[in-house]
Amino acid sequence: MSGIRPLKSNKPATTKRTPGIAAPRKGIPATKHVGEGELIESKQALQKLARRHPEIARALAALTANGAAAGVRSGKISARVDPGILAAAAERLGFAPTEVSDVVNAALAIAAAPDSFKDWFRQGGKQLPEDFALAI
Amino acid sequence: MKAALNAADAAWAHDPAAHGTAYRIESGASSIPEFTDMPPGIPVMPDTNVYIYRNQNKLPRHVAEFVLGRETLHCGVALAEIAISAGILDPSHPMTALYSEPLRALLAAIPLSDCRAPSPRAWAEAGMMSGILARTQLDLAKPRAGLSNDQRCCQEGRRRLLLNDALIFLTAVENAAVLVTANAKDMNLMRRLRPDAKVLTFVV
Repeated sequence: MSGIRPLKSNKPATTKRTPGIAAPRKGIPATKHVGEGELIESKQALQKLARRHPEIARALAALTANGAAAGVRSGKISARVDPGILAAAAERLGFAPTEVSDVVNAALAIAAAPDSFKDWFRQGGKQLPEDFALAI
Repeated sequence: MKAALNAADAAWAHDPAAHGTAYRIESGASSIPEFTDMPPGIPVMPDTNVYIYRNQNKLPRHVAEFVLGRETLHCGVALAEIAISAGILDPSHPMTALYSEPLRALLAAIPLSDCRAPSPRAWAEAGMMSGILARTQLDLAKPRAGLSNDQRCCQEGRRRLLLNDALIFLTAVENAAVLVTANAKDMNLMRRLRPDAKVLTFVV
């Protein structure tokens, strides 16, 4: 059979995998089960990713600064996505439709990056007195 | 706009000789776009008054939602208008912190990577636009001889303010951003000179 893989599996229902983040093996930090070579490769991949689009670079820089980004691609996820959205994201960020890992990493980074202005805008900050007027 | 090879080309994109009289203000203003008309994906550039109204909880809800739903670019001219308002305060005055701290917190929330400055071309064009509008629309071209010192000073100050408005307006145009402003009067006049601008106005 060629083409699309069938969705049905012969495995019993209890062993069916659901989309999500693969948990690291018990007692071993997520980054440890990646070999040295793979680690360097994934660091390079993230650096390359940052060079692809200013929005990605900004997001990765903010996530590195707040400690959220580990700088490696050690987590493995399985998820079902809308192929149209994936293709649109690839196009907007300047990736080929086949660069799925890059698109997912870039999209996640942009979604996770803090936006200090939007945070301020939502809260309004400490309020200026009513009689405040701009100097010009 | 036509390509500008020198600063005169940039300024004379609007020929002052072609603007001899005041524009007729049409009633109805059907050509003024609404917030709901703006296609998604276009970034927004707030005018200075948007930041202040937001801080003072006076920004209409639909305007706040519009800004929150889009990428925000900030104009360096607007940031200067906020910064001068902090710099001018007497640091020894006991009330100063009440005013300067919120302004500092606002500026601290704006990454410089999201800020945009007007280009040299925009400066030249903004000067011409504000000169034309000062003369034809806003009665700011009175001869100096007929004015008192205060009136002269006021006229010059209002012209500079108009220049700042034109700079913010053209920075939004250069960055293909929607300018959001409460200054409907001046910005809609500028839209007459640059109909390609995307401007959304609101009333507080």
